[in-house]
Amino acid sequence: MSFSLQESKALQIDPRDNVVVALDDIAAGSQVLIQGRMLEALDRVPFAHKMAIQAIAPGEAILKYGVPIAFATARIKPGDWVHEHNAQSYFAARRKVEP
Amino acid sequence: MILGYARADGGLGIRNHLLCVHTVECSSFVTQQIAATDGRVQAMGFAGCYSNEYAARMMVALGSHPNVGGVLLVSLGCEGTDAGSLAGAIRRTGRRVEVLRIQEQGGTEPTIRRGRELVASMLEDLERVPRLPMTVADLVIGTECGGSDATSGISANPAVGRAFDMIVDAAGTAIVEETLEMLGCREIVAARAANPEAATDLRAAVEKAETFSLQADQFSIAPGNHAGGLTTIEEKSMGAFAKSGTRPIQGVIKVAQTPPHKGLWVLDSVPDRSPFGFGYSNPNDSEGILDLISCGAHIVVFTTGRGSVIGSVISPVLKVCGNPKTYARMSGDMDVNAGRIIAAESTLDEVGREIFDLITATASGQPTKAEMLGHREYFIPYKSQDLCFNA
Repeated sequence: MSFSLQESKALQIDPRDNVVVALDDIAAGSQVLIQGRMLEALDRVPFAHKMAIQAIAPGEAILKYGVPIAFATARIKPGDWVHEHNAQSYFAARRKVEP
Repeated sequence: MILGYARADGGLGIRNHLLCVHTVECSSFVTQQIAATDGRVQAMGFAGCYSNEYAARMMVALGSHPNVGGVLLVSLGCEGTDAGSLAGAIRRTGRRVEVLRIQEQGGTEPTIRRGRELVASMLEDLERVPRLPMTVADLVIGTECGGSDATSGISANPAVGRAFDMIVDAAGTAIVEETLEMLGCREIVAARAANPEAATDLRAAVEKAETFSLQADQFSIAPGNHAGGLTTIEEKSMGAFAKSGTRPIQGVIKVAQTPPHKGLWVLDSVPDRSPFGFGYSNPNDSEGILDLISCGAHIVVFTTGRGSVIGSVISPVLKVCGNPKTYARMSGDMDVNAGRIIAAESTLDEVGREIFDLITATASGQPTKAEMLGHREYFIPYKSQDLCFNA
């Protein structure tokens, strides 16, 4: 076993995105390599889940594929896991039904 | 350089197939026996006996496809689909079309004998088709996904989107199917419209897909989707729609409608309401691929995560696998390993470029994995669809 800091990888699908997609299970506290720069993961982010790379205020859009796929329901910091606990569907909110 | 097959109607094909078409299930065996004599001959058809306007329109579009040089229609003789009117419609494109009616020919053996004579003579005609240089601007490329998994929306689909942007930038034509996978994305999709008419048509197509899904009880994002990292229906839909890339959408076409001009188009293959209700939409992946081919797609790019082996009649199918584990297991069937994006070995741009290069190589005659393996799937169901009049 290596004692160096764990380094994980994530993918920014579109340059406009404020979240990246985990390419492995990312442990909280690990350094994540995102297209050449490092960011510390504040939460555990499972494979294929999203991690914020910018601060996102409540009500602001979560951008993936360069488009708004959800809005923040809580203050999101760079390195936070982004999922149902802090983001919601515009579509479901409009329809007033559970997604 | 791509050397196309120049058709009398001005179309340019990248393959030079002779198509044998059964116009009812009763003539399918005889049709297959006729086609089995030569690898350049492909068999397909419509199984139903009572006629269906949609299926007839589709058979005419497929028989008139630029990759097809001639058509032999094999009819039993009493089915609802009128082989004679199909033949007339395809003949107007300048292609040689022959019709055999099994009841008139005197049964299985005389029809197969006569059919093989006709095939031999039609193949001689195909060898004399003139060749003309083509570029990406002359190509129509379709895309569809099937057997998707959690990797599809991260790797294969956005990589195809990169290739689609390159096709559109090179003045080519690109078609993306599956309005059922735009649920929750009506305004996101409409924002991509090239003009207000296209926005109106896109909104209407997504609304129809949403109504269809609600009635078919397919309108959900499942617990497994959430566990896999998808937070919203918009995100799930965009994972599929990412195949479209980022360029403006020119409008909506229906099955068997050729895009009126170059650029990116959305194919609405969802049935319109009929006396039977909506009916089924895309009963299987082969049907979706054939929808794209009926709109003139020279090549279909098919993305998968769990794995698929299918090809198609008429147009080559390029399979892009987004899951590195699936690729390792099924590499004999896969043309592109987009799983390298998951393994962080390649970027989306690199794989997108590889897909684009493979499209031009395939157009130049390089066989796809499915072609090498001899895959020729097809499926034409009963369906009801009105044409799209803005297109």
